[in-house]
Amino acid sequence: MHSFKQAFQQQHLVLSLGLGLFIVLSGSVSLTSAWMMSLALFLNLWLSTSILYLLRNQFQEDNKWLLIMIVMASVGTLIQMLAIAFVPGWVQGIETLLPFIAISGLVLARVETVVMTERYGDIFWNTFGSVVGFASLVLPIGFLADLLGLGTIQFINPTTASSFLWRIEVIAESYRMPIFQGSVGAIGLYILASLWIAFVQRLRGTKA
Amino acid sequence: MAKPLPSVIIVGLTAITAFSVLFATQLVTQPIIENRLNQRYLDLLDLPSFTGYQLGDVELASGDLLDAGIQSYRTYSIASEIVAMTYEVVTSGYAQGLTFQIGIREGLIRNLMVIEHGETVGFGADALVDFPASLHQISLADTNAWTAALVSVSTGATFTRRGVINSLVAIRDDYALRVGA
Repeated sequence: MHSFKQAFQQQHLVLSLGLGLFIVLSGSVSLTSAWMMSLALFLNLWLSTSILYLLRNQFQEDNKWLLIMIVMASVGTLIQMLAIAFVPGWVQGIETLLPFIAISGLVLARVETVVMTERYGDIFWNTFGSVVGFASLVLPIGFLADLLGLGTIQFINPTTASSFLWRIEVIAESYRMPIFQGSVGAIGLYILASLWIAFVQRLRGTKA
Repeated sequence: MAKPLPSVIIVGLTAITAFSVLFATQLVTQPIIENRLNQRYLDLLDLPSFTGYQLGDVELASGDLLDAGIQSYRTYSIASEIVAMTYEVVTSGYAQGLTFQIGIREGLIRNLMVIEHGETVGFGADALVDFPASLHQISLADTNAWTAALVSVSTGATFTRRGVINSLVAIRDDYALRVGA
């Protein structure tokens, strides 16, 4: 649990916002895509760090980063291929963004440090802590993008993009704010993201 | 601790393993994705299956078609004779990026699917919801019929309608050229 707490607290929120842009890109699409991004990030980090943990005895000065990049890029692509094939509803609109999680993963999970840990259990908790930190940012923003932009609380069916697992209309059409939806919604979401980051930082008692 | 393998060997083995896994995954996932893609074309053409049809490749549009926003098209033949076509269009309504696909079989508009758009909610966005049903089974050659159908469901969405109509005019001409009216 110490690894979880450390990863959750140390995740660099401002860096993940600026570098990955996943908060804007996935959050501005919908709650579903924010969920898919979080899930993909978890699978990506867990698989990558597990494989690298097994390879760590082979790390040398001149091959360490090559191995890390090969494994992370391959796992990122693998998850993208599987997600497009089996959960098309969840990846709609973010298919091309999924492999970029590999880049973000290097920052969020500090892969190099994590794989050199002595205990495999720490890898799981470190991954989990990073993803919970990431999800605590993107899920509320995705939720608000749906709520304010579309006026609905909805979650798309993973097997098909044209149906919903649930969809509740909350706000009447004339009161909806499309500024929070789609690419234009980035402006509104930046404001929301900034407020949310400030809130999470206060909750954690840490500085950005 | 065992001595590490030479650097180049371990990098090479890792790369080959990664490539093999991705290749195997591609073999598994590609048919699933293709089936789903075909299902979209079946829906566009209002067909239960492609049995008996020869499916052409998705070809990129050029010339007048491209100028009218048609990005690509695909032909469907029976006994080497084209009997149906699908088109993918990116045009401008009130906003840019109005993307839709349309299927025409035996001269009739079978389906129109809006993929994405930035039209205004309450105006163009609402009209786009009604466009597919209003165009269903109307002859593509009958310009007056499909124009009237679009006008009847797009009050206050002139730009959206105009974007779709401009594309349909180009599609009508192209379809007549390839298939016959």
